[in-house]
Amino acid sequence: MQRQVQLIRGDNNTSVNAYLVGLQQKHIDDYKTLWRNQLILHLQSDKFVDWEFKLRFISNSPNREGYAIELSGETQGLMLIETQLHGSRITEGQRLVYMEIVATAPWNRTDIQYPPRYKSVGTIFIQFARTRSIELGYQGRLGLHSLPGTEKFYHNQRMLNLGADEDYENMVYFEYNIWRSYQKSTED
Amino acid sequence: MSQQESNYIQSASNTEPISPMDLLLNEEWLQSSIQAEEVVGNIGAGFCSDALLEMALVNPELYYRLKTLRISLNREVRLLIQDWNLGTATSTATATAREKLLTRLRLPTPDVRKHIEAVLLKDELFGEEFISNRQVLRELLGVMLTQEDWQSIASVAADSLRQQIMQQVVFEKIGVA
Repeated sequence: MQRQVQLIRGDNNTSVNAYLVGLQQKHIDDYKTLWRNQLILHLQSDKFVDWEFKLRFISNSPNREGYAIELSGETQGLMLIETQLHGSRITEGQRLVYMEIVATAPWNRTDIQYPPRYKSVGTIFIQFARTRSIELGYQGRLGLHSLPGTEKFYHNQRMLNLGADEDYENMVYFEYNIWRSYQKSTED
Repeated sequence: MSQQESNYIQSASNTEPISPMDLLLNEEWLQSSIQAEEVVGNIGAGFCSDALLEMALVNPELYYRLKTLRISLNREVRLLIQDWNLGTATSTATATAREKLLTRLRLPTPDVRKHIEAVLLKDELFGEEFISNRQVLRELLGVMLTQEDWQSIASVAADSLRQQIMQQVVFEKIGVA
């Protein structure tokens, strides 16, 4: 799987072609060699995430999918989604795609580097996950628990804030309801 | 798609977006999204249970089941304590119980590990986000939280209540002779 997307250069706001691809060992190697020291240095909450383990696991798991965004041979972002176990909290009984984890490269985080090297990694992943939800028959429904301090981004994405989830250590849960275009086409 | 998303699209063209990825082609929508990314710094999401990896490494296939078990135990202990009508001490008691549970999941005694692994091997429990068999969860709570843990939970909850009462005494300006 390979899909062309466009990242935005942080220094001049021009766009540049990148690729959204399935998660591979190369991306994990980038995480270990290019990301991890920076994440530790800047005390990022995902500094010890074991992506190697996750890659090994999803290769045998029918309900998990991993993706990466590549540009210039470097991994710019990583995402893992779950596709069968999670249900909508807006419409009970409906399945959704659940975003297990999403992360951007340290040089793309404005709390580490400003201006960031590339922007829009998170935006692309969110809309891609929503697209997978449509492809899987979940009509665009998508759920996630946001890391503390990131809620504003998911608000901006127009996801519905369903509040702090006690069972998930009070992380705020956000959900996209049905994608309207799909709704319209099924009504026709 | 929200009304605002729809408006963005309509303002740029008269074509309805076929896929959410089409939103990325709308300059106004994209700039707004990117600005929000910049404000938060890092757009991370996800409940990370890698603290449990040590136990999962014994059997990597069980990692995600361990995560499901963790949130299910969090929920079960919340429901259990809610039933006790502890009032304002409920949240403190629940938080303390969850800390104890996480400690047990990270560093289980041989006996607790045996019980946890037995639950993790039951395929029928892991078809949803949460384990719905509350009996199984209650039994596991009984093994994971010792009498000493419950004493500790009670003590923290009592302290919390004591502090609240004393704060109210000061706030209400009730004289204490």
